[in-house]
Amino acid sequence: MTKKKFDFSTYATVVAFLCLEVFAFLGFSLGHNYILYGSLLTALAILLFIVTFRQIKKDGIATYAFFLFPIFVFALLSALSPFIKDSDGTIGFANATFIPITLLFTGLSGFFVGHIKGFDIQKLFLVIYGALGLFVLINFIITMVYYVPFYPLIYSNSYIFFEGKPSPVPVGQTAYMLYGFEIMEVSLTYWSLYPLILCTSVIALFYIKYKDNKKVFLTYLAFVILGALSLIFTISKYTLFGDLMLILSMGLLILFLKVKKSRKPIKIGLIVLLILAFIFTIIAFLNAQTWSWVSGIKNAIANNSLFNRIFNTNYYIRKINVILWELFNTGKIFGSFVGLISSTGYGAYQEPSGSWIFDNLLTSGLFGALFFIFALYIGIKQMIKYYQKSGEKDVNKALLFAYVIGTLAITAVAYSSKPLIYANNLYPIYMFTPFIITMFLISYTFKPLESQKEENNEQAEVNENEKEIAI
Amino acid sequence: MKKKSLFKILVFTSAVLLTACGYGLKEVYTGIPYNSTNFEANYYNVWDKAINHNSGDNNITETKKEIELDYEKDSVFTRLENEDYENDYKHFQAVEPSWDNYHYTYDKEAPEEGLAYGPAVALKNIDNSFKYGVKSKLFDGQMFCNGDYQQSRTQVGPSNIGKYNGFGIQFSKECTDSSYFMCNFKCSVVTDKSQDIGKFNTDLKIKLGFYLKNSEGYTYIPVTYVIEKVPTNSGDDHFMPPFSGRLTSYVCFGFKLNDTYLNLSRLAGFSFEYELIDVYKPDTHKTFDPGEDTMFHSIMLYEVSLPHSTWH
Repeated sequence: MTKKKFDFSTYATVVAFLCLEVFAFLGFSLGHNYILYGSLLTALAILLFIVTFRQIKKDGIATYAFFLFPIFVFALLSALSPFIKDSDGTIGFANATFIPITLLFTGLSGFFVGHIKGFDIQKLFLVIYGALGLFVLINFIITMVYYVPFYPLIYSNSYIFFEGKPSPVPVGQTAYMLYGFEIMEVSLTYWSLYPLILCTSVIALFYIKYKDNKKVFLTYLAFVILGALSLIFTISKYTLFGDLMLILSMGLLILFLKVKKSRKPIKIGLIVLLILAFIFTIIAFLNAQTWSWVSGIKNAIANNSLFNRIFNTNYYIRKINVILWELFNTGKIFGSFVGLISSTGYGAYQEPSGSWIFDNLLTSGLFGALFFIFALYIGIKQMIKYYQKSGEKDVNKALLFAYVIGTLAITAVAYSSKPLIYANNLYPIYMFTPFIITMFLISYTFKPLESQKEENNEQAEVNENEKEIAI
Repeated sequence: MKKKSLFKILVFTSAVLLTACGYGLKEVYTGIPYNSTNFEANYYNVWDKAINHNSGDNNITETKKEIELDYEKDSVFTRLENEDYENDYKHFQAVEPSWDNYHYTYDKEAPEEGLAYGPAVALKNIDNSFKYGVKSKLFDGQMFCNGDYQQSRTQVGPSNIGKYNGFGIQFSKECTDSSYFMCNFKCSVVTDKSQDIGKFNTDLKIKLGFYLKNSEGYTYIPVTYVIEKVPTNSGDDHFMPPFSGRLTSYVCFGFKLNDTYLNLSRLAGFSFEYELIDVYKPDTHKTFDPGEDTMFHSIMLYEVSLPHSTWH
């Protein structure tokens, strides 16, 4: 008698459903409960592996490793960084242990999900944006209950006493949020990240026709309206960078994805933007140093009023300059950066820069930040490949691009690592749930092209059968 | 369909606007108030309209007969750090079950053993609603100056001299159970010409107002007690760490709540007033004479608490 082999892949649909539930759960952010995220994603990755390991091919793993390895190194350097133990408001040892665990298993979950044949990413997007939408709606209503529309403009210079002391920032820079199981005061910049990311769903409206799919069209329209209303009612100069980045990134993305014939000018525009950002970073880095051979550049910048404003005297660059200076002058390029809030470091209290690009230098060191950028380069390259060759619906591919590019672009200019107003707790980008979802989505695009072709063929067969039935 | 969608958006926006009641903006102020070098500018004289018993336009439906506290019967204590007041400490022991565990002189720095009394009984640690607004200075557990001056104290003026007659605040929640009342303060007297006129003693009559919610408004219960020889303009030199002496310049005033005539169930408002009886030199007992200058007397109130109370 031969024993019948137990086929775990029959449970793939159940695990795929579980995956949707986990991501709905993550959508609520849950007050940066990293251990909870890490545990859930680890369990999910193991279950996904069990149901998909027969489909995984060595080639696929090797390609994916180019993305996962640098991300893992970034996570490891972040976890080992003295930033974890030296900073006031540190995430603590337990959370730090979960940085590599969470990022590794999030990535693997995305990769394995790509191997489930019946997995419908359209449903995943509805779940992710749905949970985010509900979260934004709750936060919006809570904030409006406590405050009034346009309060950041009305109360831009008004304070409130809290625990016997004036609030550290004016009321206009705060908002209320469901934080875990509590309602807490958070910085408006952090609060607005969620409606901004919700607004990236606008891209779906360019692909779905109202007449063809009313329900889905109206759902995405509702997400966009909710996000836009939240942003308009809380409009402030502190959220302006995020708003502008949302418009810019989505505008460029729509142009890039929709205009298929004359993409050259858009490509050139993008390359010019990237070169400008690179030149800005190099000049900012040199300007922040005290080496004698850069004094010429420093003087030239200081003597020009416009350059001086850009590189020396504005609110944002001052924080970035301290980070760039500390990087080489304290020899802590491996991430042993103690300048954030330190008793022995350079600054008494150095606020995070408000951008993951520079905050990564602070929290993970130069090598950590470079590994991260390299992983993103590989990831985005794969996303483009996925967009060009995958047989999935254009709307799903566009939504994936919008969520990933939108989240990365917005947090590059408007991330708040210190979200709580009355606590010094620091939460770098790797603890931000939309970022974790981004890692999952990038990993998903590493799904094997063969299976996509098969999917196309299967879809074609289904269509044929449907036609036959119709006849 | 377009009209329908527009209608839905309009309904949603209106619903959000209706929720916008500015609940968190009631305590907002511009700049930093009560933190001026001008003594007079720091008087806290805010009366919430509904419980302002001095005004006709309030929501008080019943005023109970004034309760004059009895030192023995009501277990009154006014000093916790003075050898001359052993009975006071006995009264404190009678009302505070954890008295043995508490250290009165600590608030910011924790004692090596036991607990700092102020933070341990602070209302902010009992209910979050006490954390907000200027009045949160009274409920934050900071019992002494600690060099924070105006940021930690609430400066109250006398009701019989000048124009700054106490304050009255409503609570957002109601007290369901409490066993004793406590407040910590010291006194100060200056003139409009000089803030350094030496040390004095003050005799004063404290008047506390407790406002209990009823079906139509509030029941007002006034409670009074005369305290003599309150150190006035005494420095905090004994307090600054390392603690070298006893905190004799502060008054810790408290008493037991009585279920028969002073039950604070449904307490939802509190007022603090006092009458100035006399300000005099401790040694000669000569009453302070400001001459042609204007005298400003005040109670510097640091903490108010209903220790171990419950709120809903």
